[in-house]
Amino acid sequence: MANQNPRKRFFVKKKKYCSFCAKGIEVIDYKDVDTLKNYLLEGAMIKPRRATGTCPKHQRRLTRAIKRARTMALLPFVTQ
Amino acid sequence: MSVYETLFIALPSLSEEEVDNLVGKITSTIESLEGKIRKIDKWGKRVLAYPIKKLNEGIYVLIEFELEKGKVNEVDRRMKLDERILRHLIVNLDHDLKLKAREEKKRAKKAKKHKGDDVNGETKEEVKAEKGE
Repeated sequence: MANQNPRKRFFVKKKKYCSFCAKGIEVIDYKDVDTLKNYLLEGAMIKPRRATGTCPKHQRRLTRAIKRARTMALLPFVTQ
Repeated sequence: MSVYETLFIALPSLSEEEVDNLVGKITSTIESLEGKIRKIDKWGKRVLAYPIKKLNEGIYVLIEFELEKGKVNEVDRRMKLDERILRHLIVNLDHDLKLKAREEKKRAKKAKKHKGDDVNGETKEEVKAEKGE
């Protein structure tokens, strides 16, 4: 077992999961600004999958939704 | 016929009547192309995430409509020409609606399963109660 090593025991990683899959959400709406904001980094960049754990399918839909929201000035392109 | 959705930002200086006029103009163009209006949603004034044409606010209006596929270009063109519109976006909702239907089906299935569990739980409890008596 990997956990038998006493050094490694304290670094058990929390498993990430796709929050959209967990909630059973299929359509990500570009008008739903509040949920989209959770997937932006400080400079208003889109969070990578490795940071959020979103599955490929939902990440694709998410980026499309965020980009649409940006063109309609619902979300910023950049923030300082 | 496909289902479309358009969100546009109107000039913040427009009064309510003028916004109504603008919405009326767009809906009438859609109807003249043999389309159907499904719903109109006025969000009102919102602060823009970034200035457009040096304006910091805009009036958002959402219109959902059904239209023949080839005729959307005409609506798009007319909205582009209108100077009262700062920006607009037309989205086809066909795929989204399909996915939403699938989502709801799954949810209904889940709900049914849960209901089944509840029923079983109740019956078990009832049996227990009967035994206790």
